[in-house]
Amino acid sequence: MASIDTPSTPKDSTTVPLITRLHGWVISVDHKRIGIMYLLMSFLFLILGGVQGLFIRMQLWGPNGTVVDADTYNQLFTMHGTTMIFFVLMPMLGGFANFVVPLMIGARDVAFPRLNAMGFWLSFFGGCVLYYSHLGAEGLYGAASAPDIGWFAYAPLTSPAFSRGNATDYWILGTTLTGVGAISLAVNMVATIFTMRAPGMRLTKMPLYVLLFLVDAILILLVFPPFAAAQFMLLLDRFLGAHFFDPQVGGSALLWQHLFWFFGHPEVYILALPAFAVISEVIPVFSRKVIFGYLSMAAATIAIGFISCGVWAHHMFTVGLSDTLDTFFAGATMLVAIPTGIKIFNWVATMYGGRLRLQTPMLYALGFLTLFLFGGLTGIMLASPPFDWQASDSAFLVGHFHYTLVGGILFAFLAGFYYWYPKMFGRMMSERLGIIQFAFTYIGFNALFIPMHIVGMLGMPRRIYTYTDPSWTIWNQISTIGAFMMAIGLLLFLYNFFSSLRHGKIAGDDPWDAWTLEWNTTSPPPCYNFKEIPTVRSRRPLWDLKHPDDPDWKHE
Amino acid sequence: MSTAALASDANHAPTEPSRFTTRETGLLAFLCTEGSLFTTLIITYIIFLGEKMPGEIPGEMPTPSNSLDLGLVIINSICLLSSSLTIYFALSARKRGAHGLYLVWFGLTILLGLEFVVGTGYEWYDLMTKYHLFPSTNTFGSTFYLLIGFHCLHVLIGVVTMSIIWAFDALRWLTPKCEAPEIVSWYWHFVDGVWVVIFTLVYIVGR
Repeated sequence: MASIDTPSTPKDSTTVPLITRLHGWVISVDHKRIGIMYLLMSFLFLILGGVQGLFIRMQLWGPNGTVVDADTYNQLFTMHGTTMIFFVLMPMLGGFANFVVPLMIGARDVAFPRLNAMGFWLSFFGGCVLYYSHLGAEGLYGAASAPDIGWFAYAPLTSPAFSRGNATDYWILGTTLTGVGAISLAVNMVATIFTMRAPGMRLTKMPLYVLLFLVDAILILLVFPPFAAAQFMLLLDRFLGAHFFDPQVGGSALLWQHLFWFFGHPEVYILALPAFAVISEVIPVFSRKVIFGYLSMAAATIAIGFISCGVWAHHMFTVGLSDTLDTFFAGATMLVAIPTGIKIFNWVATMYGGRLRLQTPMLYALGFLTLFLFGGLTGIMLASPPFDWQASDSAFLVGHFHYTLVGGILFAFLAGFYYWYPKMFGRMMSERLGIIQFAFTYIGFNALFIPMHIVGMLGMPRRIYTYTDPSWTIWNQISTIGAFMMAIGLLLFLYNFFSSLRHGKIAGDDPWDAWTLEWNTTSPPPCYNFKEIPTVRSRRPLWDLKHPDDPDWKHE
Repeated sequence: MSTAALASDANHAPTEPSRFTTRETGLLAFLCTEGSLFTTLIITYIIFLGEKMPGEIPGEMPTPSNSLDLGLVIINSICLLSSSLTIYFALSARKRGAHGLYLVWFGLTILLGLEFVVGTGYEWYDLMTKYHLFPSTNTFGSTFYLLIGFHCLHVLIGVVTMSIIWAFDALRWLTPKCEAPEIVSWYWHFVDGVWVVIFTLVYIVGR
């Protein structure tokens, strides 16, 4: 019998067999582990979606490209879009929500840990279901092997007549499953943020990060169900012969567009608010200043949440709605620019007069600011119906939303990775590699998407598998070169992420000299997060602790 | 620098007292989602209300007015709505500690819910055999089965959940402090409230 002082179960990671450690991850309900698993899931699908994007770019290298055929091309852009939205950016959101929010509010876990684990595994399972379509979707007809309906799957492309086999069904089930996962994440976030904050942390004393995730979760709760309902209608159409989206029998193809975009547009803000959240943490810490205009930031966030639910039909200007509707949705869309502009001004004002530290998180945050601003400005152009009638479904539009989704959101998440990596794993990511990666990603990104605006203006539609106009060639070639540069950048990021697990500098508890509670525990945090739940008196509890002579709560 | 230093800080600001417990907040968030789901389904029903097929002869196709039968539905509705009352009695009995009475009222709630599910089944059987109304018949069929089906599914989920809780409580596996009966009652009231809207829309206004 082992004596008491000899450790009977060695906890050192080198001695525990790999399978035991992996099993520990699979059965884990710890919010930090689930968060990290969400992030790893997003990496897996980032590689898949990225390769699809590269194939699209190779096909468009020159006129009459022959890399893939037209059917495969349809599948490529469908899978690329679906993957990037539902299985790359959504899991990143889930990862940052899960890992950071409980730590930041001084909680020991989320409200419902098992529901949390279920949400993650549902999301992951949804991704597997979608990709299973490559193997099992042919059905009886030898039809398409992956969905080829575009990521917004307009009727009647999805009707049994035009979408034979089961590819579309896998698309429906995969996205619905991940939607249920997102809802369970949101339920968790709302309950956690409302009821599990550290003593003293009133709703108005929360870090902006937490507030933005709260608004984000509420948006998820409101807009994912209409999407799920639309998916059920589509399933009934496909399997029971119902007529929701079949105009020949009294159904309405337009209804799908309304339901989809009622989800689809707020979804963009669901992805963008976490990006804003990351930026609202990174910029103050790396400018050594408190965030400028906390209250206006909070108000702008809530305004974005509200307005984003009333703008969806700007995706449908070319459908031919009435002028009244066009006017309303154009006005509402331009209105979003106001709170978003407030945010951008506040971030810039936070940097103004600050002592900027241009480390990797800040680099990506600055990248975010420039690229998101660019995407926002082209967004205002597209919000005007006369312009939209010209540019809708052109490469210009593709360039626009990649600036918001990739240049905006992905860059912000990259800032978040560099910022919280030390907290997740106790080691720093390599700064040198990070800067090289930034150069590749930033330059590659702009080379990839600026030409799309130009070639879109020249008349190139989106989703065409090839073209004949030689004057488009040069712009497409610049795009393709940019795509490969960006791919190198993201591969460098993944290399940096995984090699720093072993070779990174030991980080310590608070490598950035930051101010929120997650930096007040060890890196990585113990499974119970905090030995003693801290008491909070201001929005920067760690500042108070570090500067007892001049605490924040005297000024707030 | 430790958390202890933060906690020992004197005259700290108190947290605002939370109105709802964590589980209640979680359920309310879930009900928001459910509300959004049913709003979508109800709007879809309204959009297609009175929609005819191109070239349809009046009276040829089943419509709400010529195929929906009020008799059974009224019995179902009375059962479902009174089950809101019985679950309320059950919970107030539980608060008083009257375990036996609680089990009786809670069991009655389950039976009333079950009646609604079975009754809906009979209604659908009639619609399918007598009126030949299927989801594929016309948009009325599509939207009707979608809306009523989703609601009935929620009733069924409630019945199953309540049965599990009833069995656990009958075996005295739950502590008196357990929030499960209270929370399932909130869900049950929500499902009942949705039925009031659906009944008004489908069987009164839309008929």
